[in-house]
Amino acid sequence: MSFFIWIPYFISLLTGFCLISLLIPIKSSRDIPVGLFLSAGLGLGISSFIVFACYLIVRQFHQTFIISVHLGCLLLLLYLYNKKNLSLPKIPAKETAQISTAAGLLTAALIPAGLLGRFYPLGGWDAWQVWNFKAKCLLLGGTHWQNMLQPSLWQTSPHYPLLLPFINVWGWILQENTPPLTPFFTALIFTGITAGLLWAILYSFNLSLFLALIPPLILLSLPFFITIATSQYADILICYYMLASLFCLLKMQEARNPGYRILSALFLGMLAFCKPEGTVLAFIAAIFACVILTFLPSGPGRSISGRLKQGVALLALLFLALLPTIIFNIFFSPGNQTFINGLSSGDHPSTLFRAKMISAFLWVELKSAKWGGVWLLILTGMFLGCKRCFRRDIVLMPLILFSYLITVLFYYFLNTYFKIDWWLQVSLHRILLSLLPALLCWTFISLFTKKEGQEYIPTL
Amino acid sequence: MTQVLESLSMFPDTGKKKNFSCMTLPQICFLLLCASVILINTTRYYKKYKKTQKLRKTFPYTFPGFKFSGLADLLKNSQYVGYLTDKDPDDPQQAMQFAQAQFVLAPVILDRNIVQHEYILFDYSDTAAAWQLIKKQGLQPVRRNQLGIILVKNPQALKVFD
Repeated sequence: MSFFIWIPYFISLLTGFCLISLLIPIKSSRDIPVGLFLSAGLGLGISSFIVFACYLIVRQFHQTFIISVHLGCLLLLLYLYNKKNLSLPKIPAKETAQISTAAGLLTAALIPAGLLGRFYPLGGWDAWQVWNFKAKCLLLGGTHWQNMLQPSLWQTSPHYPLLLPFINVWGWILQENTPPLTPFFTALIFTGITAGLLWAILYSFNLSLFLALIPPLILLSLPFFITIATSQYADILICYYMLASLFCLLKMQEARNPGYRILSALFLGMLAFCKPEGTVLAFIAAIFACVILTFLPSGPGRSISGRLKQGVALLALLFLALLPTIIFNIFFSPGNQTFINGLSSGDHPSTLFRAKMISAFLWVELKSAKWGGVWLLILTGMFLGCKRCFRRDIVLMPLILFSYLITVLFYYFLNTYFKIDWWLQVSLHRILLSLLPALLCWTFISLFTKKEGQEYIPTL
Repeated sequence: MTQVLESLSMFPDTGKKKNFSCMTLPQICFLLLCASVILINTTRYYKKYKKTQKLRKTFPYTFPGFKFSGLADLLKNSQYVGYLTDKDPDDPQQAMQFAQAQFVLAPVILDRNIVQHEYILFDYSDTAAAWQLIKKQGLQPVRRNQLGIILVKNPQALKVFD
């Protein structure tokens, strides 16, 4: 294994960490893990945006440009980090032991995912047909890289945004050619940081080490989750960026910290650049976040004009973070080649049968054995949590997640290009899988915490 | 060591009694359900791992798209290459092979519309039929790899793209 394979990922982590430290105050030692796991995904997302900027400016892959911009950003952030004289809080010995134990257990739980993934070194069908094909075209295609976006290649989904291929291009930057180990590492890293972030979020919500470890262990023990996560698809990126966005939105709502506002916007921008589903989710999250930020004051003494300003600031930041997606969709995407509006089409109408199939298939999918009882667990948690699941400080999570699911189900009904039975079979499980970490996080927060910041042991 | 053991405690140091009695019955039930799910899925994972490992020993990992490797040096100046086959393109196995071939040959784009391209790949199950067609159309064979893929040059290419 080449040592160079790790260097781009390490640069991204360092960039992300400096930016996180500058944006949000890490005051408590319990916030350190969440800061680290956010840094990894933020850094890789920024790297992806820088690579995209290279294709916009230089019009092709340019190794020197990409490395220079990365190093420039990193040096600037390090300078600002030193200038602000930031330092991490001292970690008490007990928490050091807790964090080390959790890191050890999570790493151990990630090993089975790596072992299973190595049986398929080139990933699953979409890995070679969509994501890694595009990454190869971007890296080796010279000035003709846009050939991969022509409508005749509709099977490769040319309208899909390119966050994952750009991350893989960044991963290959110091290597000769395109070794398949890099996309595999990207998938494994995102599997690890998704599980890690889930643990860190719950830990920062004052859950004990043991309780906070349960949801990531549920994920990493589920064969179906680790199969899809290590298949080199973009779904694991949706899992991660959805979780990161929701956490930052909750924090922004609670703390009204401009740093969390910027982070929320950045993570939503990255989520939107993952896949069209991510774009939909980012728009839904943005709408709810702006409405809640503007119309639901979280503390006394907040004037309507102040709240309006915050809402407008979030919208402006979101616009900036969504720029890569907007630019891609306007200037590069050939548009969705696999769309027929069933509501207006005479040949392929959206019928009642289609709606029945969707609802029936959702039920069949939820109780399918491949989920190993995880949906039963989440539904039980929601039932036991009842009202607390929808309490005010976390209501944003269910609002966004359920609105997203309803929107996707409606899209299945609306778009009649594909036969519904085949389409549901090949895609619904991935939509549900991308919701899993966020839903587990929501269930555990609502069941085991009172209002955020208070101790978790319930007196219900 | 004591710190590590303490850190594994389910209950944070809040001064309250550290046992299950400080949790409600629904929470305990939920945690038991979580434990069962983890246990069941770990067993399922182990079975799946062993099954796949056994399968790999009998049938090593194959990637049908590798049939198309070994042509990159000839195609390095081409953006597109035509693709001709006598196999059913709607067969899932063939669709998979085509997608993998596309991946292996990237950034060269495989195009089923062959008349426009200088190079054409013949992926025929019946090699004799392929040679017959090549001869009949006046195409120039350039390379045939060990897995039966024939690369030919089309002197009459319309050259719309290239």
